Amino acid sequence: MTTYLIGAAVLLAGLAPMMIFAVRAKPASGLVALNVGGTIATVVLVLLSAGTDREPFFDLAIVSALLSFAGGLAYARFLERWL
Amino acid sequence: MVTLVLVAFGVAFLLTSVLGVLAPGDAYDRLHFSAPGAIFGPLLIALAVVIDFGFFSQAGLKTMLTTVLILALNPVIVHSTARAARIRERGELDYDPEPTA
Repeated sequence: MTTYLIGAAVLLAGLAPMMIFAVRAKPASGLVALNVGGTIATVVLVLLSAGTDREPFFDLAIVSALLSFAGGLAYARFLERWL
Repeated sequence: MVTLVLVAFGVAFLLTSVLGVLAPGDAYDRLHFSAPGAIFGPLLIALAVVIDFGFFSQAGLKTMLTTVLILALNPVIVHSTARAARIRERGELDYDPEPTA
């Protein structure tokens, strides 16, 4: 179980640069960083649920996967012309 | 031990994607680098969870669902991001479905 927690900690260290990059880069590149960050956040939720051995918490990862997709799609649509 | 290796490789793929996105280049280059993390990262980690918890456990099924969602939805996001980048660059999509040869 510790394996999962260490993996989650390492991945969280990779999430921080994506957040900073999404704020500072040009909009299109920032959107890519946002999507990669969403994937990382979803995987971190899976790892934390597995690491703490609480099976209902896996629902959070499913919701995160769906919502980061919806958010990225909305951003992409608005970035075409209106932002 | 198998779990350790799978989680390590999954995390390594995701961190490779992070490095690729941070590397210099335009949005299209960054989109390419986002692929390995979005495919192999979740896949390997889901494999580790399924091996540990069993396929038909709550954890195994939910992890598989999460991975299938990421694998199915990520290409859509990549496509729409590339489309948005192109429209921002040119002011239009400039796409000709029936090229006049």
